[in-house]
Amino acid sequence: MLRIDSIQKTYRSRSNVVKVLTDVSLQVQTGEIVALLGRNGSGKTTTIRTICGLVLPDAGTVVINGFMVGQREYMAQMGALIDTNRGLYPRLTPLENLRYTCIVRGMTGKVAGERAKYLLELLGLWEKRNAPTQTLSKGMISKMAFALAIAHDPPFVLLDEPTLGLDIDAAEVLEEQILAMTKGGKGILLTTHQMEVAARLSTRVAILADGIIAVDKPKQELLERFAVQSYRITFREPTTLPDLPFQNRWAESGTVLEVTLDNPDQIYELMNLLRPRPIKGIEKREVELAEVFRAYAPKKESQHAPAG
Amino acid sequence: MHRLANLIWAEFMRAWLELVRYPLQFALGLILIGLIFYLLLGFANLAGVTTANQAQLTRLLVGYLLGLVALGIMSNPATQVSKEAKSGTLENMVLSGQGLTAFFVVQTLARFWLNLVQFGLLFFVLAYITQISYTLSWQVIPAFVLFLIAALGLGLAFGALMLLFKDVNNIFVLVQLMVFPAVIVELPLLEWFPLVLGASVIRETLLGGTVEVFRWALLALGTVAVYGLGVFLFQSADVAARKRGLLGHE
Repeated sequence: MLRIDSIQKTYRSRSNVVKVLTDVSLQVQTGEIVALLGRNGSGKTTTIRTICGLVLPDAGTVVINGFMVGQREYMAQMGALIDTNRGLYPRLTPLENLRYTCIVRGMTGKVAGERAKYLLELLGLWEKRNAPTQTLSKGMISKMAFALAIAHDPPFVLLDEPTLGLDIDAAEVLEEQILAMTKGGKGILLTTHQMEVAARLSTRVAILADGIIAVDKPKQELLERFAVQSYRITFREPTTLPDLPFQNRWAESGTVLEVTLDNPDQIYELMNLLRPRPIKGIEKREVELAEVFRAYAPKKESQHAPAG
Repeated sequence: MHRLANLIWAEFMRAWLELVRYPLQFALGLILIGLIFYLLLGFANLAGVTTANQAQLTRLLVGYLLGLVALGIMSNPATQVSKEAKSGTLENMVLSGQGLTAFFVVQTLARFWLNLVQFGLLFFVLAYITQISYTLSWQVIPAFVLFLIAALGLGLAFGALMLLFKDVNNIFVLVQLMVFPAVIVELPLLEWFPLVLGASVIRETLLGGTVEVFRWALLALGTVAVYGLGVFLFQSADVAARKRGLLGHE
């Protein structure tokens, strides 16, 4: 199990003090994909880099399978894709880059060669094995960065924006591999701004806002919970309403109101507010992960997150 | 130990692959170093060093090559920190669990090993051309090793600066401009500095002279101190960079 407990981090410079992580705790079990979501600057990358040992936290602990960050055995427990654009030695070929990494990670030359071949074939890069690294496309470099992250076959993998900027084919290959790794029993922590990617891949969702984990639940539970509280109200004619005390959004020229309640009991309050208006119909609506995200990580000017 | 052996193997393999991929660079390096030596010889002639004086010539050639070795080793960790940060491989080094200090020490030695071939080749060629005489004593080896370790210590100190402050090239150039002539020209006043003392001891042994125990002890102590300081600074900079979240930034 990957477990981070009460991580705190403040960046200090002469002119600035930025508190990034107030108190972050999170767990990733083997066989699950946890999507760590958050707005820009919410601390996702700092969290990932802290787990990797690239950033030292002010307080808190990171433990993987009983090994603390900083212990030599710790690094064997995880692999990380930090940057999909970088991480390769430009003067080496893809095959040499992978062999080098495998050997540094402790494999013998023969095993390193076999592992490098396996990974290149797995990601469709075998034909490019001897190509100069400078000639690789962005998609190929991303796949290589992914291959380097999992070169030593770690039980936990951290992926920071793994499909960012990739074309649909390259993204599909990576997503397939991520899902396959989970089926193989690996635990994955991924960050992304692409809600559809998080929705497709994750089994659990943790949303980081204001330096804390605002919510950390199985994806399906979150979506179902929001579905119970999400309604689509259609009016016979364009209507105006007073400010509603829950999340809402007008659609279709003021005739359709989408509402997400903080709890199911608020339906009565909503009905009272709507009573005099010409309502054509009310239906529960399908909820997308993006809406759940907006609810827990609201924009700074409209802080309104549901309880729980 | 097994892990360190793997790191050494991987870094030597990488250094070799990069070398054979750019053989012209290696060959041009040899030619350039040879040409600069002849330029230096010209200046030395103006200063009164004549080709008739074998000992002076040997001292000049040895000092020149040792100066280049020192510059190469001193600049390698800082240069590599900068390069690895640019290519994003610095993070991979940390993730490998080998430790950044071990990485940069091994990497510097792997690159130096190939330079040693270059410099060794040059030494024998230039020694043959200029017809200087020298004595290959076993004492050259410990003196040279101590010289290398001291240079590595300084290199790690520069690497520490690069890890934390990123743009410190002007300081390096300044220090290199001081160290290079100090190693070539023998200044007894600077013999407390292990690179100068190391170069002096190597010269003495190559010329068949004997080196007092006191100087050996001073060289060993100075080397341990400089290397220890370099490692301490590099590891401190590593921790400080992680605290500030700067590790891997260009």
